[in-house]
Amino acid sequence: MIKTLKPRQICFFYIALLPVVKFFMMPSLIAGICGEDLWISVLINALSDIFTIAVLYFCLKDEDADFFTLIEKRVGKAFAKAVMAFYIIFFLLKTVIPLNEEKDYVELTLYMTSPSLFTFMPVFFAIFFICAKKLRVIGRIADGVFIVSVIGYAFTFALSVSDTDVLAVLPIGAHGIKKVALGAYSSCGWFSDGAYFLFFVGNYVKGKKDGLKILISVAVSSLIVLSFTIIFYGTFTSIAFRQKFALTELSKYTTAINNMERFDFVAIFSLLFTSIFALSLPFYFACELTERLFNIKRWLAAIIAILPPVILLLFFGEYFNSIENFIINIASGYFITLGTIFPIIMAIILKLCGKKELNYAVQGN
Amino acid sequence: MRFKEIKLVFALLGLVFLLFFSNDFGLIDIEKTAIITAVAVDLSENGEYKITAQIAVPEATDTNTENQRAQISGKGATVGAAIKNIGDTSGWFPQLCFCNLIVVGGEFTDYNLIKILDYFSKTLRVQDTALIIMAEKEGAELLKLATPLDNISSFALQKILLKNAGLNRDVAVADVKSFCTGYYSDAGSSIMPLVKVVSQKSENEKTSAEGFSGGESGSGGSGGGSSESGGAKGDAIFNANTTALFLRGVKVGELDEDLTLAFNSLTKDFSNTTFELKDVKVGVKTENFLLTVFSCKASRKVSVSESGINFTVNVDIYAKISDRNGEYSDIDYIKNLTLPYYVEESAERELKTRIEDLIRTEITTGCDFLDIKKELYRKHYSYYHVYKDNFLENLTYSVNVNFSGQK
Repeated sequence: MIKTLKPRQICFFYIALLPVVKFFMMPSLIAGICGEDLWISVLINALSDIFTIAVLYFCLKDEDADFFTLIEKRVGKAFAKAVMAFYIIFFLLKTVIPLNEEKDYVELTLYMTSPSLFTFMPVFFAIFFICAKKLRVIGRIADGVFIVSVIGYAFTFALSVSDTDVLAVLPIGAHGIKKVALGAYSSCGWFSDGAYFLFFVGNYVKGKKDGLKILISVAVSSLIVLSFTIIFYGTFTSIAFRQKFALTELSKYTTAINNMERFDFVAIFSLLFTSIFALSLPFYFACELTERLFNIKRWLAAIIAILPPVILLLFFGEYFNSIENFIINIASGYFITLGTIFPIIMAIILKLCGKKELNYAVQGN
Repeated sequence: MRFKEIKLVFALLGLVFLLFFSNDFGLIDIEKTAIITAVAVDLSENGEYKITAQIAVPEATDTNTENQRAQISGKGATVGAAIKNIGDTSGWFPQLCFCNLIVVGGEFTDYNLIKILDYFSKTLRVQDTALIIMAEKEGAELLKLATPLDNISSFALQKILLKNAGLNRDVAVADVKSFCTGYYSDAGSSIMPLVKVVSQKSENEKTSAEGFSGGESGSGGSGGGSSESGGAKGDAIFNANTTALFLRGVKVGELDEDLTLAFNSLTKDFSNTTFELKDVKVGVKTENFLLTVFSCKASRKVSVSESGINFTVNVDIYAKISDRNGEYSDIDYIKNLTLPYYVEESAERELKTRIEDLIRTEITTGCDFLDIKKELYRKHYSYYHVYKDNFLENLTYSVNVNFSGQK
């Protein structure tokens, strides 16, 4: 079987693409729930993702097929189809908030007046183009945007850290475990990144210490988000809860910006560029599963996957507050189930089933 | 065929990103855009907000003339409504992203200023790094003035608020963000400079101002709604060395020039700031000294126990004598680098008294500009609920100041 991805591309995928979507509304949302303890909520989600990916890796590292193919082989077609259907919903739900916050961000921060409804439409063409490609495209995107993201992170952090009151995150745990847990629960939609690894299992060229490299890159990705969150709170402290567009705001307080104007837009546009690819990821994987589930042409699957969010954005804009509330308050449980609990349990089951198959094969010989 | 397809795809992608990032659809005709450099908020007769926007009018000329200015006012029940009213009545789109100064009228002394400043913090149309000041009288008056050196008063004000390196750190600068974070913090305390107008009129300057206004400067030339315009040099300069203190958005007190300087020695990079010492006893005579600070290391520590809160301030200043009004000048330069004991003692006594006055001002006004409550919350959370409502009543303090020259 020809492997479509290289371990390097998976590492770049986690470092370059996944942190960016967490830089918009998420930090302010958590700050509104648990104030200076927001970083603990982020840490809980980050550790949960690292643990999920670690379990998936160690259970399925010797497999030659992805998670869904393995379920089909070892548990059954009907169950695999049901799982795919659930994951299509999972990925489509995962697209809604990042897409809307990116749209709001572009329209409210980059435009002086309210732009036309169709201004954001080109993004959907870009998403469609990515969705219509095979899995190899994810690796190529990761390779391509890695340096852009690194430039974005470096500029943003370097410019904002000097004006950060790091001690603002003290005292630790003052808001209590309930609020911290609620913060972690509400932000699950931005995390649950272990689900992406389900597609990478068995699809990459195996080499020495792959697991270590991948886990380190996931940890680096988490560290970037954690650092961003701490810098964010250290910059805005008591008004952090209402800074929805932290990405534009964070780096502008440095003296260099006062003297040389907003050259930090280099970093902002770099991250904005990466974020277009990052927000196309859940679309891509929803499309991948739609194609497999209904056995249809790729372009048709792409249209089916993209259409619901387009309709939501075009015709249900005025209901977006309710939609966001639903996703944050209710669908988060769904994200935890399919992004963390189910992959871990299923990976262990698949590992055990694999061992049994191996024993039968040995006995048969 | 394949190569053509790839080229087409890249061309389309390029077009998509160009459309996405270029902001072409968001452009407004530049001839209808009023670039606001500062706004003043006052209270109108009927209780509405009156916003006066100072607009820079760029001169399309190849001669070296200064920018002109114009003022447009709008009224509304909220600050946002008043700003919108400016655009609606004048037909000019108020472009606020270059607005670096917000002046609050002196008539708002018993008013919760967050009702005004919150708009600037929430809206994306104004940078929350915009400086805020309180005028002694009407805010709009401050924008109408011109200084002998600057035609546009907001530029002159920004020069004294954000001083270049080498000048004294004698202004307690505040911006929209710092005011709002202070307001929304547990202590609910904020500060901003209180700007006073100082007249510099003299016969010579009068003549010079007349020369300017009669020569190069002309009308501001803004669109409809302009109430004031011009380019004449004025005779006013601004003093922003006094600091207004706010508790829960309401003005509760002031720090005079000496206390503002002492406050800055605790909170800002104080190097290159000069420190005046008057009537220092040198033998049987008295002399005045000017010390220049090389470095200032200040620390504030809050320690808490069952018996109360202790606030300790340590300031270690390394300075040199820049000037003295003695009858005999020093024999060599090195004498200015090592501070005589009488200068050290006098400087230490002076700064210690000012810092103690600062702490007493915090206790009497309730405005936590020294961040004692913040420290209590962050570093002594177990005692926070005990002292959060009475931390100033249970406060004891000690101040240690050390002035030294080269050893």
